[in-house]
Amino acid sequence: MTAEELYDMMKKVQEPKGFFFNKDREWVLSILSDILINKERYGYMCCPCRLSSGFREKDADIICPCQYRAEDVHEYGSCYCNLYVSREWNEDKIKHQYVPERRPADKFSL
Amino acid sequence: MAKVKMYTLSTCSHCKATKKFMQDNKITFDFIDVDLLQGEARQTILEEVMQYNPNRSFPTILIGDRIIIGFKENDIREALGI
Repeated sequence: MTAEELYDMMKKVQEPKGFFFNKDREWVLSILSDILINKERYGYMCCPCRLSSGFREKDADIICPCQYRAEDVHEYGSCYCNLYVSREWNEDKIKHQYVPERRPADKFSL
Repeated sequence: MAKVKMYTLSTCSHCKATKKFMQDNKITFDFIDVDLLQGEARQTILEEVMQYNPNRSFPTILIGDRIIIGFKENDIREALGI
Protein backbone atom coordinates (compact mmCIF):
# COMPACT_ATOMS: atom_id res chain seq x y z
CA MET A 1 0.00 0.00 0.00
CA THR A 2 1.21 3.52 -0.74
CA ALA A 3 0.77 6.54 1.51
CA GLU A 4 -1.61 8.02 -1.08
CA GLU A 5 -3.78 4.89 -0.97
CA LEU A 6 -3.79 4.94 2.83
CA TYR A 7 -4.74 8.63 2.69
CA ASP A 8 -7.77 7.96 0.48
CA MET A 9 -8.82 4.96 2.56
CA MET A 10 -8.58 6.68 5.95
CA LYS A 11 -10.10 9.95 4.75
CA LYS A 12 -13.31 8.16 3.77
CA VAL A 13 -13.59 6.48 7.16
CA GLN A 14 -12.36 9.24 9.47
CA GLU A 15 -13.88 12.42 8.07
CA PRO A 16 -17.47 11.37 8.73
CA LYS A 17 -16.39 10.85 12.37
CA GLY A 18 -15.18 14.46 12.57
CA PHE A 19 -11.46 13.74 12.25
CA PHE A 20 -9.88 15.54 9.31
CA PHE A 21 -6.41 15.17 7.89
CA ASN A 22 -4.18 18.19 8.45
CA LYS A 23 -4.54 20.47 5.41
CA ASP A 24 -0.75 20.27 4.95
CA ARG A 25 -0.88 17.29 2.61
CA GLU A 26 2.91 16.90 2.45
CA TRP A 27 3.03 16.63 6.27
CA VAL A 28 0.22 14.06 6.22
CA LEU A 29 1.75 11.91 3.48
CA SER A 30 5.07 11.91 5.31
CA ILE A 31 3.37 10.65 8.50
CA LEU A 32 1.38 8.07 6.57
CA SER A 33 4.63 6.82 4.96
CA ASP A 34 6.10 6.45 8.45
CA ILE A 35 3.02 4.57 9.62
CA LEU A 36 3.56 2.17 6.71
CA ILE A 37 7.23 1.79 7.74
CA ASN A 38 6.03 0.82 11.22
CA LYS A 39 3.55 -1.64 9.72
CA GLU A 40 6.45 -3.29 7.89
CA ARG A 41 8.65 -3.25 10.99
CA TYR A 42 6.19 -4.33 13.66
CA GLY A 43 3.19 -5.76 11.82
CA TYR A 44 0.80 -3.03 12.93
CA MET A 45 0.36 0.67 12.31
CA CYS A 46 2.04 2.02 15.41
CA CYS A 47 2.02 5.78 15.91
CA PRO A 48 5.25 7.02 14.27
CA CYS A 49 5.60 9.85 16.79
CA ARG A 50 6.01 7.39 19.65
CA LEU A 51 8.48 4.63 20.39
CA SER A 52 7.00 1.21 19.67
CA SER A 53 7.66 -1.69 22.02
CA GLY A 54 7.38 -4.07 19.08
CA PHE A 55 4.53 -5.89 20.82
CA ARG A 56 1.01 -5.27 19.55
CA GLU A 57 -0.65 -5.85 22.93
CA LYS A 58 1.64 -3.35 24.69
CA ASP A 59 1.13 -0.80 21.95
CA ALA A 60 -2.63 -1.30 21.59
CA ASP A 61 -3.31 2.26 22.77
CA ILE A 62 -0.93 3.83 20.22
CA ILE A 63 -1.99 2.02 17.08
CA CYS A 64 -3.13 4.77 14.70
CA PRO A 65 -5.65 6.23 15.19
CA CYS A 66 -4.54 6.13 18.80
CA GLN A 67 -6.75 6.07 21.89
CA TYR A 68 -5.73 9.63 22.74
CA ARG A 69 -6.78 11.21 19.45
CA ALA A 70 -10.36 12.08 20.44
CA GLU A 71 -9.33 13.86 23.65
CA ASP A 72 -6.44 15.65 21.96
CA VAL A 73 -8.54 16.82 19.02
CA HIS A 74 -11.24 17.93 21.45
CA GLU A 75 -8.80 19.86 23.68
CA TYR A 76 -6.15 21.07 21.21
CA GLY A 77 -7.81 20.65 17.82
CA SER A 78 -5.14 18.15 16.78
CA CYS A 79 -3.79 14.72 17.60
CA TYR A 80 -0.29 14.34 19.05
CA CYS A 81 1.27 14.00 15.56
CA ASN A 82 -0.74 16.82 13.92
CA LEU A 83 -2.09 14.16 11.56
CA TYR A 84 -5.78 14.26 12.48
CA VAL A 85 -7.24 17.66 13.27
CA SER A 86 -10.59 19.35 13.71
CA ARG A 87 -12.23 21.43 11.01
CA GLU A 88 -11.58 24.55 13.12
CA TRP A 89 -7.86 23.76 13.35
CA ASN A 90 -7.64 23.42 9.56
CA GLU A 91 -9.50 26.70 9.13
CA ASP A 92 -7.08 28.42 11.56
CA LYS A 93 -9.98 29.33 13.83
CA ILE A 94 -8.08 27.95 16.82
CA LYS A 95 -4.47 28.40 17.85
CA HIS A 96 -2.06 25.72 16.63
CA GLN A 97 -0.37 24.88 19.87
CA TYR A 98 1.97 22.11 20.92
CA VAL A 99 0.04 18.94 21.80
CA PRO A 100 1.63 17.37 24.87
CA GLU A 101 1.94 13.61 25.26
CA ARG A 102 -1.27 12.36 26.88
CA ARG A 103 -0.19 8.72 27.08
CA PRO A 104 0.52 7.90 30.74
CA ALA A 105 4.23 7.27 31.41
CA ASP A 106 3.42 3.89 32.96
CA LYS A 107 2.04 2.66 29.63
CA PHE A 108 5.51 2.97 28.20
CA SER A 109 7.15 -0.42 28.12
CA LEU A 110 9.80 -2.19 26.14
CA MET B 1 26.93 28.42 20.99
CA ALA B 2 25.40 25.92 23.43
CA LYS B 3 25.85 22.25 22.65
CA VAL B 4 22.77 20.66 21.09
CA LYS B 5 21.86 17.02 21.58
CA MET B 6 18.56 15.47 20.58
CA TYR B 7 16.87 12.16 21.26
CA THR B 8 14.66 11.44 18.28
CA LEU B 9 12.76 8.79 16.34
CA SER B 10 13.50 8.20 12.66
CA THR B 11 9.75 8.09 11.94
CA CYS B 12 8.57 11.04 14.01
CA SER B 13 7.28 14.10 12.15
CA HIS B 14 8.11 16.52 14.97
CA CYS B 15 11.62 15.06 15.19
CA LYS B 16 12.10 15.53 11.45
CA ALA B 17 10.83 19.10 11.73
CA THR B 18 13.28 19.78 14.57
CA LYS B 19 16.23 18.36 12.61
CA LYS B 20 15.23 20.47 9.61
CA PHE B 21 14.95 23.56 11.79
CA MET B 22 18.48 23.00 13.10
CA GLN B 23 19.85 22.43 9.60
CA ASP B 24 18.05 25.47 8.17
CA ASN B 25 19.52 27.60 10.96
CA LYS B 26 22.98 26.08 10.50
CA ILE B 27 23.04 24.73 14.05
CA THR B 28 25.42 21.85 14.67
CA PHE B 29 23.66 19.08 16.58
CA ASP B 30 24.02 15.48 17.67
CA PHE B 31 21.03 13.18 17.53
CA ILE B 32 20.17 9.60 18.31
CA ASP B 33 17.26 7.89 16.55
CA VAL B 34 16.19 5.69 19.44
CA ASP B 35 13.82 3.51 17.37
CA LEU B 36 16.79 2.30 15.32
CA LEU B 37 18.57 0.97 18.41
CA GLN B 38 17.90 -2.47 19.79
CA GLY B 39 18.38 -4.42 22.98
CA GLU B 40 20.86 -3.10 25.49
CA ALA B 41 21.85 -0.09 23.41
CA ARG B 42 18.23 1.07 23.32
CA GLN B 43 17.78 0.44 27.05
CA THR B 44 20.88 2.44 27.92
CA ILE B 45 19.78 5.41 25.84
CA LEU B 46 16.23 5.26 27.20
CA GLU B 47 17.57 5.46 30.72
CA GLU B 48 19.49 8.54 29.60
CA VAL B 49 16.33 10.07 28.08
CA MET B 50 14.41 9.37 31.27
CA GLN B 51 16.79 11.55 33.28
CA TYR B 52 15.69 14.51 31.18
CA ASN B 53 12.14 13.51 30.34
CA PRO B 54 10.37 10.89 32.49
CA ASN B 55 7.68 10.53 29.79
CA ARG B 56 10.31 9.43 27.27
CA SER B 57 8.63 11.31 24.46
CA PHE B 58 10.36 12.57 21.33
CA PRO B 59 12.06 14.77 20.42
CA THR B 60 13.77 15.42 23.74
CA ILE B 61 16.14 18.28 23.03
CA LEU B 62 19.09 19.39 25.15
CA ILE B 63 20.46 22.84 24.46
CA GLY B 64 23.23 23.58 26.92
CA ASP B 65 21.52 23.00 30.27
CA ARG B 66 18.02 23.57 28.89
CA ILE B 67 15.68 20.65 28.26
CA ILE B 68 12.98 21.15 25.67
CA ILE B 69 10.39 18.47 25.04
CA GLY B 70 8.81 18.57 21.62
CA PHE B 71 9.38 20.87 18.67
CA LYS B 72 8.62 24.12 20.47
CA GLU B 73 10.19 26.55 18.04
CA ASN B 74 10.02 29.64 20.26
CA ASP B 75 11.65 27.85 23.20
CA ILE B 76 14.34 26.43 20.92
CA ARG B 77 15.07 29.84 19.40
CA GLU B 78 15.31 31.37 22.84
CA ALA B 79 17.64 28.65 24.12
CA LEU B 80 19.85 29.02 21.04
CA GLY B 81 19.72 32.81 21.17
CA ILE B 82 18.58 33.10 17.54
